[in-house]
Amino acid sequence: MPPGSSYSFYNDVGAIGGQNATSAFIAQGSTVTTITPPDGNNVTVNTINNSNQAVGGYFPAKPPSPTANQEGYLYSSGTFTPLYVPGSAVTYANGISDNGVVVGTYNLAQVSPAVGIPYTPVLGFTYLNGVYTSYSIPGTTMTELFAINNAGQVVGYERDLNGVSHAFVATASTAVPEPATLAIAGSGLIGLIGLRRKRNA
Amino acid sequence: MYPNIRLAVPSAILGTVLLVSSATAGTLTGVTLFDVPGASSGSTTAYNINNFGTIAGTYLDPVVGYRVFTLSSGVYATVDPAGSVNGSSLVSLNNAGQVVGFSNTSTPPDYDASYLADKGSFSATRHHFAAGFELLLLQ
Repeated sequence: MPPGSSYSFYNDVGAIGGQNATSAFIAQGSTVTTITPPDGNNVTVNTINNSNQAVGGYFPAKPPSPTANQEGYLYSSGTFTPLYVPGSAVTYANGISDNGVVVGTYNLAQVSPAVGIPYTPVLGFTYLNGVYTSYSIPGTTMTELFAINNAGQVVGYERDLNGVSHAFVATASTAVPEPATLAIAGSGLIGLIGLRRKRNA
Repeated sequence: MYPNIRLAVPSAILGTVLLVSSATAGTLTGVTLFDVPGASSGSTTAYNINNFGTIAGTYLDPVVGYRVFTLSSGVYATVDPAGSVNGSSLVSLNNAGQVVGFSNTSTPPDYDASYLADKGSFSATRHHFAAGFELLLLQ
């Protein structure tokens, strides 16, 4: 094991996710895979699933916005994918099911209501194949999602408008790209390819 | 399909933007709020759920400090080892229902112990915090 390591998760197939002062890793038997973001540092592992996909957090060298200094990531088969919910101040990737659905939490900018104290809205999200789905329990200022299983059951922590908090369990409806959206993108790309071929002819 | 580039380019851009730059509003169904009985108000947090629906998390015991629980088929169990004097933390829950974590058992240097909770039985190993954590492995 890398020296000075802390371990974040141990899955059902004997792999450990963890990190030390310099890097994050997945260790299984004598094989240690280092997780290195292409453009950041302070990478940590929060969870690994039984396919040895890892999710966690890191600080990008070039944040997507001036206030978004911490992002999540998905590490799968050697590919590091930054996870950033558009418009968020901070994105945390907390869990991943064995079928690859990532779950996490993101913060929006602080809200100053006309009555009451200012608060930072905290919402949950899932991520699958490039699509983010956002979740907020009605009547709350905080809906944190920490884990998801293969049935889509999620667990987390919520806080209502009166500041009262509870743990919760629920089932998440994870979105997939809509056919109309795929059709728009696909037909546009086909058109571009056709034009490219026509020009080259 | 697209006779000129004035239609193809915006369509490709629009579709790509729709795919990658928005968060679709989703729905949580069957939301069930819960607190471990006897826990300090607002302290119960659920961190893990396995494929059999067993939930693991932490709560604040007013006397002991943070402790680890499981919730399975409506039954709560506190699963950190006896002897925790300053509370315990949760690392993970697997599909066999085993829990691993850390427990503060005494004063430094032996104040941090990793433990395995397996359906009511516990095993633990002590490690010096300064030397780095070492988690008990689930084999």
